[in-house]
Order: sequence, then structure tokens, then C-alpha cells
Amino acid sequence: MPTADALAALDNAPVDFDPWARNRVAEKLARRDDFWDRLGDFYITMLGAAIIFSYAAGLAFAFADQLRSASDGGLIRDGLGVVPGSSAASTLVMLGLLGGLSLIARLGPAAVDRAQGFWWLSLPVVRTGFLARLLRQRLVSTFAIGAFLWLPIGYGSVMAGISPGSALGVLLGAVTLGMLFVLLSLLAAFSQTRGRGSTFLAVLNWMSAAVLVAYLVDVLLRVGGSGTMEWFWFSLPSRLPVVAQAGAWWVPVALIVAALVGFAVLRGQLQRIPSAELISRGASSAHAGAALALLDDKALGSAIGAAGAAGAGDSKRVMLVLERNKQRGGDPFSRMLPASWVRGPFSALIRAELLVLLRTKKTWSGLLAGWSVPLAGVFAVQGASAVVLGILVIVGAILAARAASAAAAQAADVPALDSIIPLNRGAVRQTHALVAALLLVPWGICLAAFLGWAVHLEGTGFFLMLGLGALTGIGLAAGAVRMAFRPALDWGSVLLMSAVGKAAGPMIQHLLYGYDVMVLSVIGLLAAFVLVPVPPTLVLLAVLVAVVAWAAGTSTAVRSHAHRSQL
Amino acid sequence: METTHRELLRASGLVAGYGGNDVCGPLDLVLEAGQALGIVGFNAAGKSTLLRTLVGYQEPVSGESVILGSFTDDSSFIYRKAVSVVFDEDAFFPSLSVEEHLQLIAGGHQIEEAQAAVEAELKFFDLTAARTSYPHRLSSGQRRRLLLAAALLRPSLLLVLDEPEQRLDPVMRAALGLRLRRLADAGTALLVITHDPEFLTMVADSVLLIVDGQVIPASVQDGAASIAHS
Repeated sequence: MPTADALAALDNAPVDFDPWARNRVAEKLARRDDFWDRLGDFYITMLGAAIIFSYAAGLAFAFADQLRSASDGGLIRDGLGVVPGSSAASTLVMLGLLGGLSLIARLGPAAVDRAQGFWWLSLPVVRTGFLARLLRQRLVSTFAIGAFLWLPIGYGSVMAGISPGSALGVLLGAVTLGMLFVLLSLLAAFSQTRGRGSTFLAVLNWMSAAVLVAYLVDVLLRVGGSGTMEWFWFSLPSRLPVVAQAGAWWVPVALIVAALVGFAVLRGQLQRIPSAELISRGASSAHAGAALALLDDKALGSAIGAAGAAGAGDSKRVMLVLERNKQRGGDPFSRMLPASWVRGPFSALIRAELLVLLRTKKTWSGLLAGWSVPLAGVFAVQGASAVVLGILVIVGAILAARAASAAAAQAADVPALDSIIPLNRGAVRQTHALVAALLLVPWGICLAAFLGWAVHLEGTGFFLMLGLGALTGIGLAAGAVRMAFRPALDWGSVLLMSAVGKAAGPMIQHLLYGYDVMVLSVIGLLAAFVLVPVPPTLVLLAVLVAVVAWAAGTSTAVRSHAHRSQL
Repeated sequence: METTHRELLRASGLVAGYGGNDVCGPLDLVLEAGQALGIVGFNAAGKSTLLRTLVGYQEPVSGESVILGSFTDDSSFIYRKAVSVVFDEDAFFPSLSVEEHLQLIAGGHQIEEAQAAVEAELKFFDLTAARTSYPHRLSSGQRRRLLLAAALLRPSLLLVLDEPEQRLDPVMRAALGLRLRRLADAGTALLVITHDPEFLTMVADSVLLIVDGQVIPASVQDGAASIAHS
């Protein structure tokens, strides 16, 4: 061991050593025996991708066919469905791109895993080499995901005849979307080199909001007959895959050149990314990867949310707000729901959960997004289709229910929180659902009012529609709680069942757990705008559905063999 | 000797914490070569938070900590050459054996006679029999010893250890304590968190005691007594 004397003349020059190369030699030796295993994994992955593609292409084809037939007219009152499908699609793809970029920025793209963080980052070596290799791996994955996403969309739209193109065109569109994802990843990595990760995420949120506002302005302009925002939608990068699919081969070529130049520029900057940033993004990626491997979308959401929070930091504004709240004896919500109102365990739990929900930004953004999706559909030409509008209402309802499940999800993750309240498990579960309903019932009534107006309901029919909205909110609340308390998958049982070919059912049941009740709850509302005027018996049926949904959502029993018993 | 008086770390008005909330501090500290500073306190007193902040792994709430005169984090090569850190977290490459992990560190620090240095650490930490084992085959104590071997294999001016005695048997604890003391005597500065009064007495020559968010300089005897009473 050298003494401090021997180290007195330390210089600030890097050591010429490549940890990546060193590891590769050792790992190659260790993995040589696993060749056939890895080949098997590759085969299964390819097979899985092909099956998913087939299903997705079928769905995309059916959906595109519905879009085409929707322009013949349908449910929505005249003059509302004004935004053409191409503009609506451009909006949707742009929001998807921004969402994808937000996800990429939360999970990296420059990141190291825990082992690399401990063993490599502590070495006095230039990090550019191995960070560039790690980034390149992620960019390839990102490209593959982007390209794969486009295949069913492009294939479906060409088959349905709503978009020009050939098989080669679909491939060009796929390469374009993949390269767009790569370029956006490079942009996110660049923000990491400047230490601006959280600012970058905030800008993305604002951009998403700006796209939604632009859509609203477009609707107002078109309804008022004073112009359109067509130029805006056609200028967005989200149009590029469609343009490429129509035969513009130069689009993907230009994007590839831009990505190569971008990577070359970025490579020299990678050394600037702080160790903490690399390790933190790597931890988020590992968390998200584990959630994906376990087919746990709830944990995946937590991982992505936590990744955003980790990068957010504490701005001066936040600190000032905290200080002000401290001086005033609490934030506006705690003053709105003072502790003096608490009269027992029920009210204590309700107050605590409401505070959690009201303080969670995702609650508000989720409820808003839940309205925005069906609203945007109503104002699009294709929104006149019952199937299209129905799907959009379901998507919106799921977004809202997921947002309202935040408090229950926290309680589910930490069972000790529930056990400190002197109530039995069933009562606690009912209380979780009640709190979610306090948000989702008004949400459902507002949505029903808008839909009722959009499908030209008047008088009693309109009020029946409002009732259906309230019942939908109750069912969604139960679905939210059911999803929050989704039992963990018992992989041992699943493997045993797979040996006798009976695992698919329980696995699908696991994936749909919670969503099943949410979709069931929306059925009454969906039936209402198809069966205009609303038959009063539909409300009775919706009451029955809400009761069933509530019972299923707040049940503490586990009947599936694929699930471990709940705590 | 010049190095024995060399200032390696200077903290000025350093307050450690999370999300703008103080955990402990303020602390004014100068750590010189050859100095062995123990950090003690109850669970959740903020020892690890303070240590991470001192060596630039975490942003301070206020104040600053400067290492080797001008560095506040590990972004420079000189920092990574001079500072060796082991916190209470372990992470390993699943396809690298015990020996290969150590060879990675030896190569990355361009240690002369690298294999001999690796052999010496394997022997000291009783890992010779496990040298070809992969991390998932190791016991938690062996994994801890591997991390410590990596930290001690490489040269350093400042050695930072968070509860190094954890998961070690009494014999290994004593051997490690003795070795750390020798390193300090030879001029390496030590920053060590410990819950073991004997280990503290063996290694440290001064102590920072964290009590109710205050960081109080204390003697080794007071530090050891504080641990014993907790």
C-alpha cells in the first residue's frame, strides 16, 4: 500500500484504462456456456414481438377502418366534429412523442447501473468511452421501440386506406419514428450534460400543454369559421412518419444524418454528466425494468414518477412556498380540511387520504387528462364514431381513475399505514374507495354533462345522463382501489400452471385487475350516447353495475390461484 | 514531512440534509493527512448524510466542503485518484469473479505489480478460497470484505468508510482496525463512521459526535462512551 508521501505529487491526468473492455473479456468467458440459453431468449423475444405485432396490427386496422367510416356522420351534434383526422392524429403522435421523451429523460438516457456506478465511476479514467457505448445501446433500443410502434399503426392505416403508402412506405415510416425517438433521446442526454434534467422535464410538460392549447384554439377557430391551425399540425415533427410513409425516403435519411452528427457532438460532452445523475437515472431504469419484467404497471408508474421527482430538486420557489406554509400553519388544503373536523377513525382516514390526493400534482393532471381525451375526440371529425368515442371515453376514465388511486396506492405499498387505523380491512378498503369517489363522482358528472350536450340530449334525458356520470364515478373509484390493491403475482403458481398450459388466463386476469372494473363502470355511460334518448332502465342497470363494481373493488378476498394472498 | 500537514478536506459552515431540510450541522472542519476522524451518533442522527456531504456525494443544504483545495465533487481525475469511498451499499457485476473485481480496480488505478497487490488483498480479507466465485455465491460478509478490499487495494490520500466493521467477524474487525490505524500513521486521512467503541478506539484519533442535529467535536474516549451508552 503506497503511503501518503508517495501520493503527494498526484496529477489531474486520467489513467489509460478501459473498464468496459476489461469487463467484456471476463464476461465473455463467463457467458460462453450460456449461448444456447441466450439464443432461446432471443427466439422467444422475437416470437413475442411477432405476436404483439399481429394483435396490434389487427387492432390498428380495425380502428383505422372505424375512423374511415366515422366521417359518414354519427352521434355528435352538427358543427362540433371539425378537426380533420390528420390534424388529430398529428396531435396524438406529438403528445406521444413528448410523453416518450419525458419517459426517456426520466430514465436517462445516459445512465449507469449500480455496479458500474460503484466500480467504474470511482476510477480516474475518461468516462467518454464507456458512457458513449452505454448510450449507444440505449439509442439502439429506443430506435427499435419507436420503429416497432409505428409498424402496426402504419400497416393498419395503409390497409384501411386512410394513409397512402406501401410495405416499403410503412418501413420508411417506422425508421422515421425510430430515428425521431433517437434524436429526442440525444436531446435529453444533452440536457443531462448541462445539468438541466429537471428543467428539460418541465419544458416537456409545458410543450404538452401548449399542444393541447393549440388543439383547443384550432377547435375554436374552426367552429367560429375564422380559420384553422392546419399549418401548425403540418409543421410538427409528428407528421414526419406519415410523410415518409407516403414515399419521402429523404426524411429518414436526413434524420439518420442528424442523429449521427448529434451523437458525435454529444460524445465529447458525456464526461460532464455528474456521477450522481448517472447513478440516479440508472437506478430509475433498473426499477422500471424490474417492474416491466414482473408485469407490474403500478410499480412501473411509481418508478417513472419517482424518477421525475428525483430529478426535480428543490427550487427557491418551492422552498419559499414551504416556508410560507410553515408560517401559516399548513398548506391551503390542510387549512381547508382542519384536523379539528376529525371525529373518529373514519374521518381521520378520509382527511388524510384527501390531503394526499389534493396535494398530489398527478391527481389534478390525471383528472384533467381524463377529460381532455374524450373532449378532443368529440371535436374531431372521427369522434362521431361510437367506437372511436367509446374508446376515448374509456381511456379518459382510466386516466382519471388511476389519478384518483394515488392515496390508495400509497396505502397498499405500505400496509402498516392501514393497520395503524383501528378499522377492519374491509372498512379501510371502503374508505379508500369513498375518498376516490369524492373526486371521481364530480368528475364523472362533468364528463357526462359535456357528452350529453355533445350528443344533443335535453330535458330528462340530460339529467339521466348526469346520473349515469355519477354512477360511473362510483364504479371508477372502486376500480381505482382494486387496481391499487392488486395482489402480487405468485410466480411459483404461474410456472406450475404454465407446465399444464393454464397460465395464460390467470396472467391476463392479473394484467386486467382493476382495469376490468373501470371498464365495466363506463359501460352505462357508453350505452347512453349510443341509445339516445337515454332509457330510464339504463340508469337502473348502471346502479346495478355500480353496486357490483363497488363490491369487486372493495373486496379483500383473493380467489385467483395466480395471486398471493393480500396483506 | 510535507504530506503529514497537507490539508485534504475543509468544511465551512457545512449543513447536511435532504430537500432543503437540515439533518445536521453546521460543521467547520479541517482534515489533514494522517488524521483519523471517527463519526458517531444514534441511528438516523445523520452520520451517513454528513459523510456523503463532506465528500461531495450529496449537495449541502448550506456551506461547502472542499477536497484537495479546490474540488467539491468527484468530477476530476485527481479526486478519484485521491479519495477512496465505501458506503453501506454493495453492487457487483454478476459475471465478474471476486478476483476480477479487484483486478478491475488495480488496472483502473494502474497499480504496479497489480496481481501481487490483488493477491495480498485476497489473503488479508480471507477471500483466496472465493477468488473465482461470482458475487451471488458470496455471503454478505464476503461481499462486504470484497468492497473493503477494493477500497484498500488502490492508493488513496483520503479513505472514507461508512461502518466498515459491519458484517465482519471479530477477528477481521480487529485486523481491519489495526490496518486502518497503520494507514493513518503512514499519512492517509480517514473518515470513518462506526457503531463499535473498540473499533473507534483502535482507529480514530478524534471524533465528531452527532447529537440532536448538532455536530460536536469530541475525544475518542467520549465518542466510545457515547456509543456504549446508546
